[in-house]
Amino acid sequence: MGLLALGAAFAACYPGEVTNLAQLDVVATTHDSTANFALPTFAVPDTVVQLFPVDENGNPDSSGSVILSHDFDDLMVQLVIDSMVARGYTHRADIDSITSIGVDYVMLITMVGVENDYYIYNPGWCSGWGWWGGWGWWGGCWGGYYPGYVGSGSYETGTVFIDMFDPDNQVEVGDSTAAAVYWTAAMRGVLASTTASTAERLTRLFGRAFAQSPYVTRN
Amino acid sequence: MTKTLRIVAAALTLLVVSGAEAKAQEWFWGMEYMVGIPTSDTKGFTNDFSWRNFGIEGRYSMTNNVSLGLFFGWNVFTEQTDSVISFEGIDVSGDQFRYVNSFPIMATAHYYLGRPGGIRPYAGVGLGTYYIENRLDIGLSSITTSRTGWTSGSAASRRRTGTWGWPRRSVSSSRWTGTCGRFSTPGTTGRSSRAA
Repeated sequence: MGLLALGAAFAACYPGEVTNLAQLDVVATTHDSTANFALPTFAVPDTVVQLFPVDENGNPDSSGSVILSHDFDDLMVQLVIDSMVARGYTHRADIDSITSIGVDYVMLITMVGVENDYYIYNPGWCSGWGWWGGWGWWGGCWGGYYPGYVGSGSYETGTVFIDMFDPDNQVEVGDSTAAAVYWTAAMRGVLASTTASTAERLTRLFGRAFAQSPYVTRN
Repeated sequence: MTKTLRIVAAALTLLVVSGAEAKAQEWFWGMEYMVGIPTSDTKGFTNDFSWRNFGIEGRYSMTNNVSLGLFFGWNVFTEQTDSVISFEGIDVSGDQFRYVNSFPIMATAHYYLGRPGGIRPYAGVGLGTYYIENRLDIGLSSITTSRTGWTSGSAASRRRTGTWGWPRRSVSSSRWTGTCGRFSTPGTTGRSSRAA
């Protein structure tokens, strides 16, 4: 009897538990250790781009995706601007053309609406797209893009990415070229569902992404 | 790998299996409750004070002064943290639930002073193996690593014949590390193929 009682007392050998959705939030960051983060200016596209999977032929396919909300685009853009300015960078809000970009870094915010393993199509920064306001959705700009990569992976629905790249630093990717990404932050699943706490979670996670990346600074 | 986790012995005997008096060539049993303080590598993985440790031991009296036995323990350490963990150039943060479950199994030998019927100080040693499982829960991912190895222990206390258990005991469960293994959780590592 005593043995049973003691065994029951210790049955919960993993005693912790998640008590709210925010406890499932995860931020991952990675960077190019050879990148130069000391240049002065940056720009942020004003729309958060949703990435879509591609089929085996490389054609975009949104059929398996959840269309994510854009209600928080302005917040996310502003969070990135505020964080970069706080680190000594100068925001270039006057950029309106890919051909006259004139900034040292672009901070591209994207999100994925798929949960399973997929190839990901990033509509990227289409040279023919007039991107301020025209940013965003796939269709018609396959090629001539950057960072414009096709990657494979498995992502939680609603994961948000921030990519920092220098549009002038082009590298070869297959038969094309793309901008080398200096820093990436991934905030897992934060937009999978939107609730009253989504804005607070985004604010906290964006702050955490920059906080755990002290090398992104001019200060 | 040579670091030691020392279970601070505030051992409390929870169960008296038998009230029979210990005599030569006789089994006697005891169960222990302990509290634990992680040190060294384990402290780096789970730093919280542990209230979840217990053991059970059987001893066989070979003579009036010597017993041989078997000890089985279960030590559980936990910690909840939001610290940043790094691996392969990737930094990850988020609420983490960390657990260490350790199961030492040791053969023991004890020597008793005094005479039957009185207070009998004793000292003992143990040698055996352990199984340790480290688990890290973060987001919707759970990463578990486990390993086995050798362990040793010692005990010194006094026992009054006619009672059972070991009211004060020091257990050493050695050689575990606080690493959480390779972390390759989908969705947290960014894209796997991209412009370099």
